Amino acid sequence: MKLKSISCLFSILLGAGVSVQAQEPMSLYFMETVPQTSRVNPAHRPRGNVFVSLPSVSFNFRGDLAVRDLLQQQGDKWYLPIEKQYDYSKLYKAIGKRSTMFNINAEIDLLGFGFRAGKGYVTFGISEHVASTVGLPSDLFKITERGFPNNSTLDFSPLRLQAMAYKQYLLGYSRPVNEKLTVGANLKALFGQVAVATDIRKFNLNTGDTEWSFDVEGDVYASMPVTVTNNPDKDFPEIEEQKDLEVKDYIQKYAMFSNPGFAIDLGASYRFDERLTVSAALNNLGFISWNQDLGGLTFQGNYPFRGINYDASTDDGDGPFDALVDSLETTIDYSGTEGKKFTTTLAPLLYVGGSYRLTPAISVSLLSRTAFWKKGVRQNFNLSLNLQPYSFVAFNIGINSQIKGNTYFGTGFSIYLGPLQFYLLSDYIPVRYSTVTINEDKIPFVPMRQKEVTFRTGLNLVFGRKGYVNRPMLD
Amino acid sequence: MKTKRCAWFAVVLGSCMALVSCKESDVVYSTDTEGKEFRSIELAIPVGTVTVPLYETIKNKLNTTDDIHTDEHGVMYIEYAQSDSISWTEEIGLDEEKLHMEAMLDPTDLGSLPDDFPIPDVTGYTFTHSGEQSVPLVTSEENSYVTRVSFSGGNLEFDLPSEYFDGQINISILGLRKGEASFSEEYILSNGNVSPSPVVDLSDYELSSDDVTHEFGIKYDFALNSRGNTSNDITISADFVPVVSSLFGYFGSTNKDQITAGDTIAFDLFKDFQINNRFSFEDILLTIDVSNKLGIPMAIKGKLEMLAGKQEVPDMIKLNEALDFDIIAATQTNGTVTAGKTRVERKATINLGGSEKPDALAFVVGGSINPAGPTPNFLIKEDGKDNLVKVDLKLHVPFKFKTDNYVRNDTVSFDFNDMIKEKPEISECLDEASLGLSIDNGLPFKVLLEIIAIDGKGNDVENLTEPALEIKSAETDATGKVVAQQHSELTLKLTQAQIKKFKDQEVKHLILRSGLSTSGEGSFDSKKAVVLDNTESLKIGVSLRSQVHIIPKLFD
Repeated sequence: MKLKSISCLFSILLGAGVSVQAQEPMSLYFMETVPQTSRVNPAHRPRGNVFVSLPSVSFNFRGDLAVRDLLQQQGDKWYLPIEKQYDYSKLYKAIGKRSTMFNINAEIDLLGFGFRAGKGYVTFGISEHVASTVGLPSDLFKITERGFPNNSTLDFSPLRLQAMAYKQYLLGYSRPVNEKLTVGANLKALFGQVAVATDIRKFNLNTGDTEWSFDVEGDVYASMPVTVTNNPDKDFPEIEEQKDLEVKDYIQKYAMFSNPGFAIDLGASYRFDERLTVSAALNNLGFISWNQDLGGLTFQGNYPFRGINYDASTDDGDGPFDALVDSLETTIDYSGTEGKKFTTTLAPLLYVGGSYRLTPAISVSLLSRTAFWKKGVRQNFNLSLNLQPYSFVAFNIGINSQIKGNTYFGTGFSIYLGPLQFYLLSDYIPVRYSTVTINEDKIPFVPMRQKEVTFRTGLNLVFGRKGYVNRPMLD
Repeated sequence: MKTKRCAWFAVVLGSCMALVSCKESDVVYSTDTEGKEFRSIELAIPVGTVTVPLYETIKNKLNTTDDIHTDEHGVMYIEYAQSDSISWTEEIGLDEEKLHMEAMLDPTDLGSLPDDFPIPDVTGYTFTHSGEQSVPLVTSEENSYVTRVSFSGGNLEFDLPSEYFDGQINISILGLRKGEASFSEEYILSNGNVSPSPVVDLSDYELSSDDVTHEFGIKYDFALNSRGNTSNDITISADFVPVVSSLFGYFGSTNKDQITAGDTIAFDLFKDFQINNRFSFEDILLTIDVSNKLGIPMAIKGKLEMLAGKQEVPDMIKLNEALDFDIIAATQTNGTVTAGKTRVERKATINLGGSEKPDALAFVVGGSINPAGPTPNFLIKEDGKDNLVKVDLKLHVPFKFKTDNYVRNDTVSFDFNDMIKEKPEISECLDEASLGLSIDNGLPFKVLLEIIAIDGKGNDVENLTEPALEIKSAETDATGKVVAQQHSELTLKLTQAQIKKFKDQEVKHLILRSGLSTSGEGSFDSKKAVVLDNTESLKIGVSLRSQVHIIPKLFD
């Protein structure tokens, strides 16, 4: 109930805009040795007195479908969705009633640094982000289950595509309020580069042997250097790349501060005692307002398709079936739009975690991460063990579990070579593998159940890393 | 301490990994369809609508060069027209070259020579004589006469005995006038020469004959001295080569069994007809317009012949009335001719039913001139040219016909294996299909449709429509016009077994065999003909419902 209320609240916040999500590995939350931990909770303060982050990369792929959902095992046999024995109820259970989502996110940290400033800690970073979401309607899979039967309706309105690239300038500050409570915030200036987003409010396909009809209402928004020209025949508008863009034009376009946006992360950490600490963070409350290189499509209406019209007096009968396909493709009238501003929001993430220190080198932690989407939430839990046997090396070993998903093994480690730190974090490490043989082709190490992969890796220069603020060093 | 930590770490890490990591069972999958059961899914799709607007379809698609039109009632028709003309020198037999004067100025007709006429070679003998003859001017036709002829040229050349005689010959031809003056000439013969020239230019002369006898007179007198004569005869003759500008008289009553009125009317309307059953076109209208600029009435006996490959096909065309008619003669006032106009109309029916495909219509004419007997005739040239009998033929063929099961075979290319060569597996995907045909027939004939798949050698592979599909005829009124459409719902089924046959036996074509019968009950002869007009059309809504299954090979 509470989760539903919270998700409602964020749906209102998300408003009518479209949202994309960027995700860090959950193991980063409790990796105190990695300065980037302040990204997931602004109240988490890096251990080093000063750090400079060198280029690092983060990647996340997430989907609702694993290979095993598409290739079902019954007994010792395997079945595809086109086969009779395939159980579609299991597939719909995996993908959900409405839609199945795929997310791909990538982040490149170009430059960053942080330092202690009195009691507070200041962090700064510049990063490049690419985030995309593809939503496939569940009814799409009904095509292979039932086809296009007479007098039926397929709901494709959950179809969505949202993708954007933007620059982020982050300024973070954390400060202990008292001995127990530390708060922090990251202020992020966002500047959009390219974006495309769909807002499909209605997309029904009614099928029948005398008429198909498309009942559609939706928009496609775009901010990219292309020109959308309406086609006088009301076919799909022509999209042309703006010509004569040279390297310097691209640099100018993408280096400028256009399509501005803003986001904020808020975090807090409460240390009950030497062992127990609880923390929470609410990240990615923000948006980008797209107002340059705007273009898009609008479609609305009910478009019947009754096949080709063949006039025996004039048509010569060549390619009637090609004409049938062409006719189907041009059924929906699109109109290109120019100058329609739109907003993309970042999908908020709520972290709530607790950490219990068993020994100075070992702690266990539990983390909840809730991602808020326009159409719902995704809930993940992480139970991990944090180890720092030596000052120059630290590990995080955990188990990640998703609601309506699978359970995965995750890990992270960081190692210092002098001030140079290398770190690698990964949630959802595929540890179950199968060898897949299709006809004569063998593919080893196929993670059949894998739905998500996340990792972050990079280099930092950390100075004064052994220092603890108000905490003794490990020996 | 450190060792303890490391051991702790190793145990925990190892345990975690041992708990979660494992090699799962291998996946072995073959895309081979053998032994597999695939999900049958339904595909219901509107294929489209086929509209056959009759007038436009026939106009654009019928393989004919003949123009198809519609009249004020919208009824379709084809019209053929042919014009030709006959001059007075053709077939009517008024060859002006054959116009001649029968005149022989033979002294033996003038009386006998003196008994003491010295022969041979007696010189210095004086011989005088005068006389007069009446000469008829006749044409090449029997029982004809000329009362007046005007010359625009030509010659009258006298052949005088200048070789043997000197002296003078006076010749006067009464009735041959230039203006008011009659022709009269004195010819001097001397030493073999004649002066003036014995060639008379007939230009602007007019020759008139007696109204009763239809003859004209020639007067002559001569005084000659012989210079040596090897003949007992003294002949004066004339070579008459007229160029006539007008001719009056009576030109006989020539009867010709056949006069070709002009080229045949060619058409290719029936070029693609597959004549295998009775087919009857009705209410064909033949119109003949004659413009006669000859002052000669005529009686015509005509007939129409339908030709196929230049050979007459008997009984293919029937007229409602014999094609016998009279042509009115022209009239003239002071040489200005007003053509006599005659129009003849006949209704015809064309009956097809044999193997011949008619490609031409011949109008065969025989007749006679002056059918009512002697009557003043004239022939007047205009601008030096023969006047003509102009004949305009028009054949109006409305699309009004009846037929009983006129069977037509149309071949449609359908190389099945070529169609699926990119993905031959497609042929395995269809379990069954039903093609629904929702037909609104606004055409006045019933159609029995068969669709037969054949291979490259023409052998039947599969009849897809057993029994034949029946498309009901539209309703027609008593005049044969469509008054209401007729709706039919038909289904064409296709099974996987048939698809397999198409593939195995290499179907190359589809034969669309359609049997057309015009609406109406009863036998062919008692049926009423139907008319095709520009409002009629056939509309077929095509829908497809099929059960298909998808196989992995489609994605290879």
